[in-house]
Amino acid sequence: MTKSKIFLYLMLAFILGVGSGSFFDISSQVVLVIAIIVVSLVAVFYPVRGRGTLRALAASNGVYRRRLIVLIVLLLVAFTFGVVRFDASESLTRVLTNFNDTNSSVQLSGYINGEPERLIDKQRMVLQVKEIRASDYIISADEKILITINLYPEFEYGDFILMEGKLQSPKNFDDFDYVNYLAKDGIFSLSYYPRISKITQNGFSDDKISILEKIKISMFTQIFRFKNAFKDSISRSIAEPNASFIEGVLLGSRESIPQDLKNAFSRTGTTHILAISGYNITLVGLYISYLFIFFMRRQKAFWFTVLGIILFTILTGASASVVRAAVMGILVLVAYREGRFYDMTNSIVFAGALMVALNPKVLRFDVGFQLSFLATLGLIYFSPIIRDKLEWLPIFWSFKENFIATVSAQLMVLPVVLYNFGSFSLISLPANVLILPVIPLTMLFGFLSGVLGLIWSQLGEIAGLAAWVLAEYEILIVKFFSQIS
Amino acid sequence: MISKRKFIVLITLTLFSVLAFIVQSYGKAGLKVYFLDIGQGDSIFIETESKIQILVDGGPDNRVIQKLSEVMPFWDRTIDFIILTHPDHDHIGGLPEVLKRYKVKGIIETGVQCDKAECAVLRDLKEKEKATNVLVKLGDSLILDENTKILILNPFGNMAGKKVSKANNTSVVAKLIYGQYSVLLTGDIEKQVEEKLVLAGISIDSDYLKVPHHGSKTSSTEGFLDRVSPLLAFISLGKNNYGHPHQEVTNRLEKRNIKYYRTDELGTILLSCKLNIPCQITTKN
Repeated sequence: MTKSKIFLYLMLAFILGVGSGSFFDISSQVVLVIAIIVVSLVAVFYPVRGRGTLRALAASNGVYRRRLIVLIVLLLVAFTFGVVRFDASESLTRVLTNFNDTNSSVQLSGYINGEPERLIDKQRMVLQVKEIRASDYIISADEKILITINLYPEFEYGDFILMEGKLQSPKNFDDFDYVNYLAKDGIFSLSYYPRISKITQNGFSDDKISILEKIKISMFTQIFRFKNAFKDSISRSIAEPNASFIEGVLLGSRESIPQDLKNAFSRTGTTHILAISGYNITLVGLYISYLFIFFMRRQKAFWFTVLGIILFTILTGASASVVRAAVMGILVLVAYREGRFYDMTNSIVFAGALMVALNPKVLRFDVGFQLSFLATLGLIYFSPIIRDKLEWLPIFWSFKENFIATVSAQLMVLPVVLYNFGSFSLISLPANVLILPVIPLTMLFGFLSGVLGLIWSQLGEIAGLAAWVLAEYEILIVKFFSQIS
Repeated sequence: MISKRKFIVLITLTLFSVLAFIVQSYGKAGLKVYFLDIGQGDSIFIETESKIQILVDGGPDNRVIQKLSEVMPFWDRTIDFIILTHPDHDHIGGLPEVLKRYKVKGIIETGVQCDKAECAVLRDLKEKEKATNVLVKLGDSLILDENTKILILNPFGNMAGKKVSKANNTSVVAKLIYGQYSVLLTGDIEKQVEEKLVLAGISIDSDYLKVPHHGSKTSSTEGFLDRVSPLLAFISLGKNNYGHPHQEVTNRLEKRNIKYYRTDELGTILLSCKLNIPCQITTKN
């Protein structure tokens, strides 16, 4: 067995451990104890020179058997790591939840961590709580809550605020596991329409906000300012709801898309277009590489493309889902460049294991993670197979490319879609095949409209007209298919 | 088989001719008044025959953006004037976003004092946009084009900087006149102002009426309705806990045979008038 195979199995065992931890209520102590016993047993009785209890086992096939035993032990250890990792993510100490659903208000201060979502009639944002003030004592904390407030005054990332209001626990609605959806982001309390006011950072002593946190805040404040200027420029140049759609395609921000349109996208299996998915990232990568190939050799251009994708990821705010998409997008680009699809297994599983290690909750509770991970697997493994089977397909308008990509991605995500949404629409195939060819141009003109609009508004509007027409086509397709589905 | 390039040229040409057709067909028509379906609140979009556009109030939230884009041509990123009848949430809430997205030449309001967060944001945006601010009162009029003008009938005096506990009765009352037709826009005025208008003998007689204050029972008094004597009325509202439109008000309208149209039932309502042809009502549903 090669080293890379062993590595692969270890990572799978780890993922399996996290999975078991999140699906079954396994006590990590029990698993840990069993693992320690097994490991010490093997260590003690390991047939170093062909003696000991396990000799009988080892004798029959010498080295091979011995290695197998070591492998099994290592797998068990990796599995245990997985269970323990999930458990650790569950058992963080939380102070704020004690105030949930009580009748008394609390005063919290901290800063806004993440971009406020500007919905049609309210703002929603994550508050990183640094201090809890209840009656006459102050507690230091470092937890997140989700607050919902009126549209105005507007807040932005990094604003330091003081809020006063009641906290409540999130509740599941319909079939949606909202509790765990928030839990994966470390949110266990909500506050609706608290009293809220801006304060200055000076009120916080240095030990409450670390230097690293300060650097992060000041960096992302700048990035989000730039991003917002770009978004505003698009929404000044292009009429709604197309502007929101284009912002979704370009930046993954879909909070201002009207609900009925969002529903239409999800019914037709095209929501991935509105999020930053591996697909968008791949497109951004391709644009960048076209640009670089003019100036340098292909090999060099590839690395600049990867660099470009990383920059793009940071510019959009580097949220967990975008980072994931970037990793997946880069993997797909590598796969297509190398043309060796079957060698990619380790990188993909490693990327997946790393993401799960960083936040073990995504494995079970983040549908986005499951979908993007599986879609990437599908693109890399199924598309060569399907391509062979479908040689006869016509190639006009990248019909073949999109057909193969859609089918291979959809095949792989099918189980997750069925599990989460209970139904799967066949409509997604024609809808995707009709929309995907136009997405690259939509992104291009949307981007031009945003950038030119920053320089001179009329120019932005001209590019915006083209972007509007393209977006209108896509929206009409989605609406049409959502009606017949 | 046609080559790819020819195909693209063909598509582009078709697109342009469709575009030209849309633009041209958009070019005709007289006065259009849209009562936008923005939920519980007021937002009325007016387009005159010479394509001057006026937005009266912006509803409670950003829904107005979606609704505006349904009635404005997609290439149009300009609104000439905004009239803010009074700075209450259900009239001002959507306006900051309108200012962020559209070029607005002027804002017409009473200038009544307002300390709400929305008003502060709107003031900042107004400055940034360099939109002219016009404060109006009874007796002012706006000549929009050859056949269209707006007469301001309320407030009676200068309200600039005045502090009031309730803004409803400071609402701008505007009579939109196009040729022989007239539309009375009333904001949220209540009984007191209605009576004042009747007693002062101001010409409020109109063909069409936007029912004051979303059909609240404290408005649309008998005397007022008699004097306005509209052919048709419009009620702008959405789901609400105030009991709008109040039964008493709809009874008063029905008693006078005034047919009324509700935005909560019909969605956006369009009143379109051409000179010498009777006006038409169109709804989306």
